[in-house]
Amino acid sequence: MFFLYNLERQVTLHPSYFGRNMHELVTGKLLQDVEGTCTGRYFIITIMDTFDISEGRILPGSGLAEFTVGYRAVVWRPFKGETVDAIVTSVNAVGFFADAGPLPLFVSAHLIPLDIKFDPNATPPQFTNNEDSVIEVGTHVRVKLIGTRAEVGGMYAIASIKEDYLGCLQGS
Amino acid sequence: MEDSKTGKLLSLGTRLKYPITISKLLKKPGDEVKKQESILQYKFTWTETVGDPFGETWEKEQTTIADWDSSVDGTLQQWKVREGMVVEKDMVFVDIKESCPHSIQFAGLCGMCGKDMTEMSWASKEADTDRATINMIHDQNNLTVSKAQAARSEEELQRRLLKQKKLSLVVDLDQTIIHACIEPTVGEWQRDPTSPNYEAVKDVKSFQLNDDGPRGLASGCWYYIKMRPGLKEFLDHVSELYELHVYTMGTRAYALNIAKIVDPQKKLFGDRIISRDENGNVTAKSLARLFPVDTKMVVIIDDRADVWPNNRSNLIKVVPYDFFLGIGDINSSFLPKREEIPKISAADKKRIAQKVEAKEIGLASKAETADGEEKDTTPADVSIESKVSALEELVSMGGGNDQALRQEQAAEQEKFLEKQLTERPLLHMQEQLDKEDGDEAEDTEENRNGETTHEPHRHNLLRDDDEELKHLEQHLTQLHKAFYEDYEGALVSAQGGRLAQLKPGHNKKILIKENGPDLKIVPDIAQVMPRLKAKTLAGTTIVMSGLVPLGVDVLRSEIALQAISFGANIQTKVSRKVTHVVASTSRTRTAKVRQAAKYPHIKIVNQEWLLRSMSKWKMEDEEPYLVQIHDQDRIKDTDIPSIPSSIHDSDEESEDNSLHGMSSDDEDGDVLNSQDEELDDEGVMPDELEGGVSPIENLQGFDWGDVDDELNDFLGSGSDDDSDAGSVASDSSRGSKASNMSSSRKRKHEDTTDDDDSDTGSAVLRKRNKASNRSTGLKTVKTPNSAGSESSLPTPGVTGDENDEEVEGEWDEDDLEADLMAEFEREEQEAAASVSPPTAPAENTGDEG
Repeated sequence: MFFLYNLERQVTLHPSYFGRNMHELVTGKLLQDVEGTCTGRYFIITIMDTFDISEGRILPGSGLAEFTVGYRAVVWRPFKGETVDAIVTSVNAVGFFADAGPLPLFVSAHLIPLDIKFDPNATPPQFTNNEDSVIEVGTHVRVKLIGTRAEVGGMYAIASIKEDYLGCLQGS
Repeated sequence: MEDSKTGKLLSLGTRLKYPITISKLLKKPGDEVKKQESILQYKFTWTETVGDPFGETWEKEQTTIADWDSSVDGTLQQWKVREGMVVEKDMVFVDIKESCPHSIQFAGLCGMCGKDMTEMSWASKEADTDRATINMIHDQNNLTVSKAQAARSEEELQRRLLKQKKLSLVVDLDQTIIHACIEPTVGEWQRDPTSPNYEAVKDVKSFQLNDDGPRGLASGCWYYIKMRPGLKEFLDHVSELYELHVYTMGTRAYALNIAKIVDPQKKLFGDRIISRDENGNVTAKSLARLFPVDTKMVVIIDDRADVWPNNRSNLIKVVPYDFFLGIGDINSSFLPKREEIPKISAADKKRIAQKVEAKEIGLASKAETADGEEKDTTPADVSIESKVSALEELVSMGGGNDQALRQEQAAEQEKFLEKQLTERPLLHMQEQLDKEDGDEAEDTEENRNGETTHEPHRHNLLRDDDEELKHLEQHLTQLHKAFYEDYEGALVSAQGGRLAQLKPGHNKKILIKENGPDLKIVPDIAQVMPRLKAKTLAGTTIVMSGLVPLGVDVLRSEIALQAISFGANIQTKVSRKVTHVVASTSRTRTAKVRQAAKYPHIKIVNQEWLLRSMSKWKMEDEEPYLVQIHDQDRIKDTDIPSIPSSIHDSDEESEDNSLHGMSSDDEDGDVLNSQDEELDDEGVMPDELEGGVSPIENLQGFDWGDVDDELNDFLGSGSDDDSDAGSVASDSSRGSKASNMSSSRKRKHEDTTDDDDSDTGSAVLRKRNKASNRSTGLKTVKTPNSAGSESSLPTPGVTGDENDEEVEGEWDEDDLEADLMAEFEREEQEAAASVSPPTAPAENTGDEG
């Protein structure tokens, strides 16, 4: 689910940048550092704006200036039970992998409806029920997350298409 | 999910204070059980030591009631204990059917129920992640499955393949089906139609690696990919019989790019590509990574056998494809160095090829053009040697799984690649080649003035004449056929067996219904293939000479292992039973060759025969590969009646035969003794020398120069020495043929006189013998003739330019020269043998093996 979230971050600036447009530089650095990262619980999708840049404080020893920046960001936190759209990246006999934006997820064969079977002879290999559902690399699928796990700098999820209205999006 | 009828059996564990009494069962069969939920209450008694403030202590019996918490989720099936029961020791007490076996896990999540597998709690008995440890998916590292799951998917795979009458084939990329390099010169040649190499490189494909390729100088460089000739047809045919997998030591991005070139429609390999990123080990490949349970239906083709330590019997070793000379395998910089079979020189190769050709077609002309061309590939060979050694520096690191090491190795590969970019070995080789062409052209003009001078023609460095894939395709077809013949045979007999057991009517039904039994009867490639291969050289007994470097156990060397897998019987010594002696082309007059020459039935061939036979899986006709034997080696023993060569087949007669009738000399006694001991009959390893002391111990630090001088005095042939050295030098500097000829003619002349000398004046010989015996008791004297090119220390592998001389020399015309040469060679050989480390095995395995 997406949230608008107020966050805060310390940004340091090298002395050579000290000058009139310091605030722009700080904002730029913030965007660079933060956008598209995963904190472990959510992904920071984009930064809307910075609303509070504190006065710079020179760090003793290094001469870098440290700013505390308050900013508003759109974050995405995947929840268990959430339904997301994803693009299939890899298909094998055990199941298929897909990316929902920054989140890699896996749908195992157990969580695929029984009529959709793995066909290793097709090129490329695919899951298909020999009708409208063909899941191969590049297919858009709608899945429901049934478990997530966070690691440093990344998240993973297990998803299912074994429910109504889930699965291949191209047919519908 | 429904793995078995009975669920998971839980036991009480060893840490409880037995005996315990079950006081209460908290759940009934059929109840849902959650992890960490109490399912059982029990009580136990124990003694506590208590004390009062006055220092007195006594023991008090305590009774404690405790809960037993479930370690799994599921449904309770059955209690194995009753309330009130006393349990004396650890036992299984409950049967719980798990709701999820967690047999597929993705990055620490169960792929079936979505639970986090890395969570541990007080109730867990084992980490859930341990339940699925097998990684069998090609392109993913963090997807693991349990053993049962792996077995199931493999069984599915096998059934599917059996139905399609296919097998699995694991294909290596580098130097097996393609050859890659990043030498920018290739690109230049490609754009320049006037380049002599244009023809060869014009169909070379190229790509850039941007994402995870090497960094630094080599980043973003062009990779040039040459497909092995006939690759497309090969893959098309083979893919009808095999399901193809790619298994490479390159990075994933590299592998994908190659696959795109080789198989643009993804019809052949599909997504079945595994690279070093997923391999988990940077020095070895393992079939278990792809086929964790059963490798019965898997064949491997690879140019290196040593990276498949556990799957040798599934492996077809391919002759490495070396198109960009001297580049080697760009992705193997962290593999241990390839154990080389001594390279046959290009000139020899050509000669053999011609012979084979001539034999096949039936006309033996063409020799004239060959003469000029023979010269031109050799410099490349020379630079290969040096290049390989440069590679060597970067190599030989053992590999583990750890990240730091991997990075280090990646860095090394980078260095290796950068070197290629900056040094441009191919360009240099071609330049050198051009230069030599120029020289040669001048020479020809000078020498053959009357003849027509042909256009100055630039020779091309790269050749596109590999035909390994043709043979490979045959082998694979043959193997496939043999496998399915076996399978069908087994199927019929299995059916027959069942027929005997059951009424005929049921038979068919059962076979279709339970597909079970037919997987057990599937033959194993690891048995079918060795059986096929073993036919190749079956019945041959091979002795190798000069092929295995000093200090390597012959029987464990790569080439011997291969030959054995092809059914040859490898011996370390020449005896009557031996059928072939395989000699290095560079050293055709080793002791073994000469021993073998005495048995007319032993075919003495060069290593090319062995290599080709193994490549073709068919024993090659020996004729074109026969090593020319000095007439002397053959004739001598029939001339001398005192030699018991035909009576018994041990080897003692070998060394003294050519001694010009002095074989019965007492002085040689101890030499022979030690020889006898070394050459005892069956032993792979000869016994220790007498008393553990080598008879040549006192030779160390001996001044050979003195002996040489002395001999020079005796023989009075200092000029001989000069001319010999001269010819060698001119040879190695790739001089013109004319000078070579003149020098050898000169030498011939001198040899004649020399030989007369030794034949008539046996006094000189005797003196010579004395000279040698004086110091050592061995005939290990370095003679002036041998001084030129080879040192008294044996050099492993191919070294000499003398090779050319020997092959091309005119010994046929001149027995006398041959005589003398033989003599010197032999002595040299002995010198080599005796100076080599005092342990006897080294002598046997190394120098002459």
